[in-house]
Amino acid sequence: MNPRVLYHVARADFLERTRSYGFLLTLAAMGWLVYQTSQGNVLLKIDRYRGIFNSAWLGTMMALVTAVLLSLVGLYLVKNTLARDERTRVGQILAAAPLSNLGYTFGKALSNFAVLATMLLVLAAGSVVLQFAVGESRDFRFWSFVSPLLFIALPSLAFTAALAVLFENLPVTRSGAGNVIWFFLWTALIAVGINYPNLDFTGLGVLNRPMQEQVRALDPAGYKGGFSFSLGGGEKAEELRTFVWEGLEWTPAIVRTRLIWVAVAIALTLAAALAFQRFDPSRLQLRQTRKGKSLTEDSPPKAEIGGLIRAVAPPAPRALGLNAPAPLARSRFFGLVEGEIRLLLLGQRWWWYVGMTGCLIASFVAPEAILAPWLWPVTLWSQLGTRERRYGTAAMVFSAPSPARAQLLATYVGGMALALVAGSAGLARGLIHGDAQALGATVAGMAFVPALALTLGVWTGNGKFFESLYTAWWYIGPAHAMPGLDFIGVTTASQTPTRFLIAALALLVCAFAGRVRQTAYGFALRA
Amino acid sequence: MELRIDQVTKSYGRQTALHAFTLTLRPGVLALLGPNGAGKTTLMNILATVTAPTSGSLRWNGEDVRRRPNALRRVLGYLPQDFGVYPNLNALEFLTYIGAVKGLQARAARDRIEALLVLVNLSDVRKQALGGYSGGMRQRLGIAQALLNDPKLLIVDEPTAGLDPEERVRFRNLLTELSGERIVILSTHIVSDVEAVATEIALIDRGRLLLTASPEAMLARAEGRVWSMTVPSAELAELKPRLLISGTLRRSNGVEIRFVSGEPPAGARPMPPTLEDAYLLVLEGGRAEARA
Repeated sequence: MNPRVLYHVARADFLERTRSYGFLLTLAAMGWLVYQTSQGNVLLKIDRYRGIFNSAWLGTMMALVTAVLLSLVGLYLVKNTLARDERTRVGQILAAAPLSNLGYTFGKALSNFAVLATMLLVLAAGSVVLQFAVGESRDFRFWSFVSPLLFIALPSLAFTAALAVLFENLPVTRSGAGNVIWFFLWTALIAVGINYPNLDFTGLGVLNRPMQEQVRALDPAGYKGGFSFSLGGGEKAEELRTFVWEGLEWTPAIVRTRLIWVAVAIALTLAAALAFQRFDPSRLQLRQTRKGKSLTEDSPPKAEIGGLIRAVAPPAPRALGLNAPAPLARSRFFGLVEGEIRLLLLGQRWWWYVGMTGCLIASFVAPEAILAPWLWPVTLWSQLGTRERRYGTAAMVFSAPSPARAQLLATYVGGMALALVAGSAGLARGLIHGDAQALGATVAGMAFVPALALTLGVWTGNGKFFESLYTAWWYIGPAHAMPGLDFIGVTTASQTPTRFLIAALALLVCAFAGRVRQTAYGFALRA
Repeated sequence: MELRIDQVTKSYGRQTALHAFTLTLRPGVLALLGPNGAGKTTLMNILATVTAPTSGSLRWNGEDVRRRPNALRRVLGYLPQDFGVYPNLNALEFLTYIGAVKGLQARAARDRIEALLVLVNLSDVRKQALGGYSGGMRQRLGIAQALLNDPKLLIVDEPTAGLDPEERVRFRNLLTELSGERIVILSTHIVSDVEAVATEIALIDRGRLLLTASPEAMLARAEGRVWSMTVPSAELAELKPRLLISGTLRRSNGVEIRFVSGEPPAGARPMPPTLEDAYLLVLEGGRAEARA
């Protein structure tokens, strides 16, 4: 592996990704997380205590935000590097170059890592500001602040970065199924990691015991135990007692535990190199054939030179009807909506429908499963507003009448139709119980989710940001019934339909503005 | 310098895109001609080591390419028909990246990139994001990346598509200049490109090699078989299924047709053949043979 090649593979990919609106939004989301930390919504609690906002505590908090949350959404964000080379068709040029599989996958894993590390950098910079803004401690200690980022956050990011490359190289995980698989794998790893620190890629287990011991020493009589890291919380930070956390003593044993995850990341990248198929179009064609598309090579031959097509293969005389007028439909909107729904569902494999049906049945049978159908279609919603750039159809679509109004609205309605299916159990319950507020909350969710997807799709040009934001939001908001973030209104206390209806409207205005910008300046044609 | 393609077959499931293709290439420009779906792109992908053949062998100077693809990749320049770029990078960054991927030394790559940007007329926009490039500019960038490593084997698929006439002439001249000590494989639909640069033509249809010949030899095959006559417009539709028409021209007294035939109808005038005529003749001959 040539280090220079490695550097350039990683650099080009990193630059390509970071020079986008989507990445700016991601960085803004990191800033928002820092703000949420200051508000106590990102909370690390030991018994009834939290640490004062000193360097060690903030470093630890940000390391955990990175290791826990960024590892989940990070995979969704970076799991598109091979897909990009395939989509932009740069892959074909790379495949013909003397670039080893290992060099390519390592370069891509490095780029993934660099993207995630940049986000961590924003978190870190924000928390330095936070320390001085809150003012509980004005003594900035560099090592106390940096060491948890180094030993907790970075190994978990390395793991996520490498896993993303592996996921992209495996046939099932490269698709939307990979996102679902990662969610459950992540949940399982967190659950296992709490009890088995050696299997804990997040580092929660490493911090658990020393922090608890310090609090216990502080308050031996009143100590009841407990170590929780929550996003969204529900408990006010000011209601907790405080203690001074000086940081962990990074013994060689602890460092070794964490470095294992770097080794795991290397092993995952090696596995990815073995699975990497070098953008071989024949394999891609076979994959497409299995999806029901025809082989291009099988299409009936036609002469290509000049105007000779008719001469070589003279067509049988047939009335093509091209002279007949092509009447415009009076209302093409419903046709557009139908087309959008078809496009949404196009190419979905049988297992997607089985999964969605399973989620729906579960949501009708068990009230606690009401959230499942809201997560399953995330990869379909994430297509909203991005398809034109993704498939290079912008020139055709945007040259049609009213691309910003009619086409965008039809895309939104298509997304809403999907939300209607996802929220059908909630609607049915609301109707049966005559619960107008619950009904309103479900309807607001149906309006909000596709609006969020559409807006982010239009402005970022790809669905990755929506996929990661939505999954995290779904987990923090509805799954924890957090008021203000629960867009479905799982519990009566967390139902805020008016807020989400207004948000949906505002998002639609943003999407409209984005589409006007695309059509006016040919922005989308660039991709 | 020699690239030997021996009995190369490529199948996609039960469909065969390339049937036992055999050809030996030496320095010069080989033009690949054939209708859509003939297997040209499959062949180019195999030669560019992007796709592995189902069977058969490929040897670069005697070395088995399937076993050691990097032996060929080091000296290969490849411009795919349908390639893309990273829209957020500029030309300099993109070429630096491709240079590194091709294993070029940093300083050598820098100098070569500068020279190539001048050569393909992108010097002024080197720092502009590729997303804002026109189709022709992207194509020129593609040409530059293919030439980055001073390739011994240059494979170009539709290289002049999207170029304006001036750029096309420039690129043709460039190909002619390059062809001296290297093997250039050119797939194109533009016959004037073939006429201008090809030293040999390979005609493919339905995955089979129909013919390899020099342009002169191909023209000689069509000698005495190309005709022209003027017919009333109303008769054109009736004639089309019967004649191998290679061109039509509207005249005040009807339509002047140009066609290829062994036995011309009465009133037909003999015409000097072009490569288009010869292409049609060979293609139709191959199909008639296949039907028989």
